[in-house]
Amino acid sequence: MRISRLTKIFAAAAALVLLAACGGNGGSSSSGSSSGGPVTLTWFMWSGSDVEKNAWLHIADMVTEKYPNIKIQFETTPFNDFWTKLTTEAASGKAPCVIGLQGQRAPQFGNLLVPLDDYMSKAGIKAEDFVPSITKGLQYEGKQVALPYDVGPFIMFYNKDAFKAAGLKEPAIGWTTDDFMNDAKALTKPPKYGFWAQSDIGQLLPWVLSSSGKAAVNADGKLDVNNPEWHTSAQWYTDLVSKEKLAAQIPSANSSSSSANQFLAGNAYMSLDGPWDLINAREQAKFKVGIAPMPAGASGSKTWSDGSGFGVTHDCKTPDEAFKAVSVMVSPEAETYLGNQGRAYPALISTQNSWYEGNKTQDVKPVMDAALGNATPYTTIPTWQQVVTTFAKQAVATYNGQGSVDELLSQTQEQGAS
Amino acid sequence: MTALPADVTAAAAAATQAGRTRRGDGKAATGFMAPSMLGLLAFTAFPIVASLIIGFYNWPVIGSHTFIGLKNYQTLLTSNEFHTAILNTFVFVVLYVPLNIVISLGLAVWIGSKGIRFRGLYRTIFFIPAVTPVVANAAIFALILSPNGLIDSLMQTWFGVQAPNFLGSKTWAMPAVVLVSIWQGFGYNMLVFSAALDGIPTSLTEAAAIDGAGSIARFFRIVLPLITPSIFFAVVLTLISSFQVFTQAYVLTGGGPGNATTTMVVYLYEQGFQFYKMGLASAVAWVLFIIILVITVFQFIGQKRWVHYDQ
Amino acid sequence: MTNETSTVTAQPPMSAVPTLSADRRRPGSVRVTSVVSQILLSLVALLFLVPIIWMLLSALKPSAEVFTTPPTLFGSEVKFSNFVEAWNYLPFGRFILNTLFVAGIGTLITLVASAMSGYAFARLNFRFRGGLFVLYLSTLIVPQEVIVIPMFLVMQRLGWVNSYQALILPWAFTAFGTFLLRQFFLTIPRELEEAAKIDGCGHIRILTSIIIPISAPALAVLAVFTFISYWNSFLWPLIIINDTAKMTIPLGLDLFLGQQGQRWELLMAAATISMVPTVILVLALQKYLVRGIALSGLGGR
Repeated sequence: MRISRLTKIFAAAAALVLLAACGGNGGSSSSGSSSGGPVTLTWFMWSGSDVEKNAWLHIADMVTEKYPNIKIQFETTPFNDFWTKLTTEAASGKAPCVIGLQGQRAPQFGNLLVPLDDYMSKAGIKAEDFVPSITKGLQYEGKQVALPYDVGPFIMFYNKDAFKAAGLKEPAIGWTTDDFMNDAKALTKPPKYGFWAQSDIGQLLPWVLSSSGKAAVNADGKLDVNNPEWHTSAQWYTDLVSKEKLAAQIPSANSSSSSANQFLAGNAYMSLDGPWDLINAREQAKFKVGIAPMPAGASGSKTWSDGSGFGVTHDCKTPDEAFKAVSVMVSPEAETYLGNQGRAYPALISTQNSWYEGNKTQDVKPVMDAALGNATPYTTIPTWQQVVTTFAKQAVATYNGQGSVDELLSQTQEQGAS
Repeated sequence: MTALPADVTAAAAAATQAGRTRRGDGKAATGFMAPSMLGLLAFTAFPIVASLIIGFYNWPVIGSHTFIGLKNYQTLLTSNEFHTAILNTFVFVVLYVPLNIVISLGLAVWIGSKGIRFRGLYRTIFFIPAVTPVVANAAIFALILSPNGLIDSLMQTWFGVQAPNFLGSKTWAMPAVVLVSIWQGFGYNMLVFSAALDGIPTSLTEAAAIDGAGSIARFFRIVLPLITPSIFFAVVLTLISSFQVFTQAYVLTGGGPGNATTTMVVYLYEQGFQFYKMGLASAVAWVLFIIILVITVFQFIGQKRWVHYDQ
Repeated sequence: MTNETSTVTAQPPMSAVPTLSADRRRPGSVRVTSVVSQILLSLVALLFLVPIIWMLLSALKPSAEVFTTPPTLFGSEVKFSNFVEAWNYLPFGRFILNTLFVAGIGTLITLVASAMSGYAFARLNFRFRGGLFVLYLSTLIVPQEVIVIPMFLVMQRLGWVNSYQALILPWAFTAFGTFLLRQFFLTIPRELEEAAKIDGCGHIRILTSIIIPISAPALAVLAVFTFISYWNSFLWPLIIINDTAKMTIPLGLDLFLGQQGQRWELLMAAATISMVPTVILVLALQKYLVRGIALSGLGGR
């Protein structure tokens, strides 16, 4: 009597949950049909501030201007949460119609996206119009899954005022790792340091590239970091922090310190970063910010480039309209706008001048050209998240002199196997 | 017919009444128990069973799940990182629980001792960090412990030496996590012990004093044995929650440097919600559960030796 | 058959007995020792409060002066504007409202469900009552980590990821409240209800008109602990919420930590803001807490 009641209740609860589990699907990513009638589709893109968000809203308006039957519903979260939210929504079959995608994450999320090659040829959009490294970076299994809107090489930011005060020649095209070391030594007076070291694997990669030409992923698409070339560079980087003491100890392995900007605060005079941060840096810093290409190592002055673009997800019910929206987002008008605003260094080659003109950054054009010319795409693997996390945690210990480079690289390499 | 004796009639009536009540309570009980039972079934019982099952699958968030039997548990058995996580968790527990109990009991006794006034004020002060978000507490200590933070600058000013980089150092990261946890956590137990101490009749201690027992002897022979039930409860619950340490380790040090502060739940979060290996994470959860269960059962068995219940 | 857990100790009734503090002998030396003791205790309390004090002081400093050697109490200016800036940088008002909503509704649900089931266990007779109670107790040992993974998957299927109900419901029905109130209800003498029963009151009337009013201290304790637990909860919200619009305060603070790595003074202002509500709650209800813990006979966390 009591038992059967209990069973009934349990069964009811279980049934409820399972029923809801079976139902509850169906993408709400777009409404309307694909036949030219009014369509509302969701566009999911990261943004860190209202300024950025408004720039994207402006682009959304541009889409509706060109295609009045398409309305965009814009959704956004901060960059760090973007990937988690995307994963969760995709897992329940409710991914938004159009999403932003970073080149680094293409191996991980590429399978969510519809190949765009056919759409491109029908619309007359040519891959050659865009910077090749990022165009390639946004391919998945040989197909173009996103059209790029911005790209940038990883370069050296430096504090012009500090260099002047120390009587040092500013870093310029052609400077070498030796120059870098000498500058750092002259500038370092604790608690101010010549360089800002960080535990992200992307921070070490340019040094490896310049020293030996080796990347993180080999030609077969497999992670390959446990080799002599990586060891040499990682050891050099560790010595920078622990032996030569030209960079501050890394304070902690949690997210706050890795995003902490000692360079902007004036505690470190050189730091590796991308041009996507240049406009912000020049606005916020109380000193003049200059950029230079990677100091040349034995293999030259090499670096990686990465960028982002927009793609259409499989969950989208109106892919034709979604592609039309994407085509507007990377159109010359949109790219010019973004470049002028400093939101992006345009991947559309013909519009790159807008970035220089809109932000008065003509002084850095030679550096940008040189760096882009020597940049390889930032190629990763589908389990890149694990690689990044493992490397960052271990790097804090290793760089601070409490773990071996061996541990760092072998543990990271293990993530490539899983 | 002779009337039945009054008490028999009364007894019969009572029995019928009771019988009626017992049967009638069934309906009322269903009604009263329903919200709680349904909720417990849906949000506790069902997930427990589900997570056990998920632990036998390879369950990525996107994509299909495949049954792999005990493979997840095998992976854990051979995973260095998981072993480190277990070790770190035990280190934390061994450092945290005794310190917590000793400090909270000591302070409760001190505050409750004769001649101390404004008891409520002290109790409230020590209780405050227990009710503030752990994230906030961790942020404060991150400020205090970082290079050029309060501790470092004090050491430089007074002793002319730089403090170690606590949160970035493999040796100091876990002690830092323990420190924050203690500062944050002992307030609860202190209140519990205060309540227990307040309830001890002074007649007992006064009688002992008259017999010539010093205050230390009075404490250890009379007070302490009387509050062992509260100590037992505090230890059991503190142990259980200490095995689940996550927020402080995650916010202060992200589980690093290296794996120095990767506790079992940090590892679970990493595997389940950063790498999306839900099957493996479920297996971790169950290992954690079993460990907690075993230790708690041992506690309950062992209590006969040292816990005194007298009513 | 009732299953009174013998592990819970019944504290002697509060009113009857004088406390340990009354001691009239040897007044002179007692006073000196107790003054010294009081001073030392105050020093310990002050030391204990240093992190909080430091948080407040740092929140009022200009950005460049948070890390100085030697450390200073105040910066070159006292910037109350830091609080305004911290409030505006992330939608703190939103976070507070979200957390208030979740914690408030959650506590309400918990109180109602626990009171009803506590009453059932304490006053009603039904088959398997004993076994059911043991089952309830056993769920207390299960760590939330076991539950969060399937919960996450279920929330996904239901489409409840990033929703208020996902924050509230999973934790509103734990056995803790039932246990606490059942223990307390058992200590209430039955005579009070007998009279009502004779008058024909049903169980619901008895619960609401008689039991609940008497149980105010225990309900207060449950309400406070539940509210605080919701307020400070971190792991589950971290997992289930990824939209700033629905974030709770601990999440908001963590976001702040991640985005403003260098603006420590704003971070400290934000931390201060996040602490205020629960501290006020505790200050207002401190009397109840110790009494309530004692009356319910429950051990610590």
